[in-house]
Amino acid sequence: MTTVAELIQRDGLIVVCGSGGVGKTSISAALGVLAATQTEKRVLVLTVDPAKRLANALGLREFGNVEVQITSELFKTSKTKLRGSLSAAMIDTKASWDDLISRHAPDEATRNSVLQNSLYKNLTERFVHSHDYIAVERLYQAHSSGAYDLIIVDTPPSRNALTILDAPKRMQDFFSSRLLKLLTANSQWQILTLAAKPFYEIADRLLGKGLLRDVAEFFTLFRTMETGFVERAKKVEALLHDSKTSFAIVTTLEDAPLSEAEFLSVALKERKFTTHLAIANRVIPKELQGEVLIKQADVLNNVRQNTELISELADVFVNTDTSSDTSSEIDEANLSKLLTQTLETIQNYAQVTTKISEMQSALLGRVAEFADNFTVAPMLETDIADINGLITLGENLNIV
Amino acid sequence: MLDRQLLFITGKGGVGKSTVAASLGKAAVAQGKRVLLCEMDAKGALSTLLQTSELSFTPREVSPNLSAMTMNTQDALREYVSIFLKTPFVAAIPGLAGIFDFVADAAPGVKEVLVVGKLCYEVRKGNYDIVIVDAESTGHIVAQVAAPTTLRNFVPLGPLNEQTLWMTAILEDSQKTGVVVVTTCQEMAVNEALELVEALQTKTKVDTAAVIVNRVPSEIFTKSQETVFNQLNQAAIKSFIAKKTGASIDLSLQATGLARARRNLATHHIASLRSGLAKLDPIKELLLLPDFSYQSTDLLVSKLSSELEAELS
Repeated sequence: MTTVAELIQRDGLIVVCGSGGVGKTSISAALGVLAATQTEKRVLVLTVDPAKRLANALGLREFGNVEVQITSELFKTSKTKLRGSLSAAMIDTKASWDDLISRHAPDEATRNSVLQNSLYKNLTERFVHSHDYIAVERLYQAHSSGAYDLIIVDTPPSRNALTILDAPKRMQDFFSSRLLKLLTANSQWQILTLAAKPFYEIADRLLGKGLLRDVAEFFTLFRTMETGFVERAKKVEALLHDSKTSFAIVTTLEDAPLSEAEFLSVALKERKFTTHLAIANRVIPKELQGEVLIKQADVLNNVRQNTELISELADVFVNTDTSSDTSSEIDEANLSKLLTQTLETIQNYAQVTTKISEMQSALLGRVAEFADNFTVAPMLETDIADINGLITLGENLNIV
Repeated sequence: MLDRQLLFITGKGGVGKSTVAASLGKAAVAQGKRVLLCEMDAKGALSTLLQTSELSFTPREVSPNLSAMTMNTQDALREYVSIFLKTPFVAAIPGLAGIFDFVADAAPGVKEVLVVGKLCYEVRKGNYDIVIVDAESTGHIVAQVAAPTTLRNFVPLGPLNEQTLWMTAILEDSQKTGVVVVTTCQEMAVNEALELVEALQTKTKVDTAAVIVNRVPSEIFTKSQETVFNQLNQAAIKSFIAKKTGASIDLSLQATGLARARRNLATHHIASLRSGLAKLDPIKELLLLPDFSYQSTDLLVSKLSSELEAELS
């Protein structure tokens, strides 16, 4: 059981997961803003999502692999001020890989051969979901730098979030795999075991001989970095399993994202991670929930069918001093008809909103089943485009 | 759009690619076409949407004229080797399939070519009038449709290289092939859609058939109704109604106001999509689909497909 207030009081890591399009990035940024304004912590929001979204939400145009501190200048127009510090960064896979190779390469010659290998870029992009590995590695790096008390990570959409969590293990497995041993057997492909021979013939015919040789060469070099990589991957894995690491699942109250969230919570449990908090985003605001709109819809229905009342209302409309410029557009001759139509539309939306919030309440029951604790964030009238939006969202999350 | 033979449906995660792909499939069947729907990497979403049992690599007719399959690189490789190299498949030897998969993964374009090759092969065989692919998300689609060309540059000789030529001929023919970019009317989704259309134009020769905006909230007021609504929100008028009826309608106004704000926001994002597309290519087809996200799955596909049918006829 962890509330948002408790979550941001803890030092360590918050991993934010969920399906695409549920507002994970905004929620992560809002949690970051909340932590940096409610506590004196040094907070970092890290996005591993290739889309450069966090930048927008934080009002920055774009930021790269380096951590950028958000200045208190940005909070100038808001009542809430920074108490701690807030930084944000995105993960640049290519740059991080280059760093990693440079760090682990036994000597400069190896480093250069790897960085210049024609397959390097392509291989690093693909093998063992390296993008995900880089993400956790980068997380570890930020954590172990000691520069932050709390790091909030915004993961890519749901099933990929799992590959992120599995990445350190997969990296370790890769080094001890038969696959790597075969690839780097320091032999000509042709003189491998008899069983493998037809396979390589096909592979050569399909891919060309040179290609297999390049792959083998790359991995032979790569194996020289085994110790460094494996040790690091173990530390990264340990960090994810540390009791200071919390997991939050974000979802909207619609069937598809919620199913993903349920899948995710099961998968987290299988990996012995705890879902500390679920966040239901874009929920119909509390004051609009329940019977109240249905009653008002009845009232509206009576008003629009009461011709006497409508004509009285029309008189009020005409006589009300509306300094707003829009009043001139009203066609007085058709006012009664227009009023009736408009009231009908409002009646309709009162009903629609009730219907949606009923569906949402039912789906919220499913959230309660997989998460001990959940909080809701309301559907907002506008997109979050600045710090004030993030502050408001954060405050909403914090309401128990 | 449905006159083409191969359509890749793509877009940012969560915009409803699979739903749109399934609905396009049904709309094409309604036009009298024989349709093959193909899902990438066994997500399972397509079988749920079509309300059928699990799909496999071998296409299965799930309803009259509508067949469906799920793509799988291993099976695509097996089929490729047996059809084009006329060699019995050996990657079934324990452990070797993994290596092949890995190496194919590492070499630029090999895996994609196997996948795209299978799709083009279905087009060439002509068992279907149209092949609709519930494709990879934005990040991967460019690499996928450009794969035959990428591979040709990378492996200048060999049988696979020759095979890529006929694939390219299908993919780069705008009469035959098109990419359909799906988005929602949210800022990030719109930005990503525009980036994708631009990348398809600059990095590939594959045509973008259409951009589809999914889940567009419906229009709430006409202009004059909107004026009335604004006035109803004024204190004097609200209290008049409250006095006459003995009840408040404030929250109804608020609920309608929220719906209107969401609609205005959507309209704003659609406008920026339109102007962004106009800068790239003014003739792009832009379709708007209504928001059915609170519908159950079966209704969702049937409603969307009739909407598409009407839009495309």
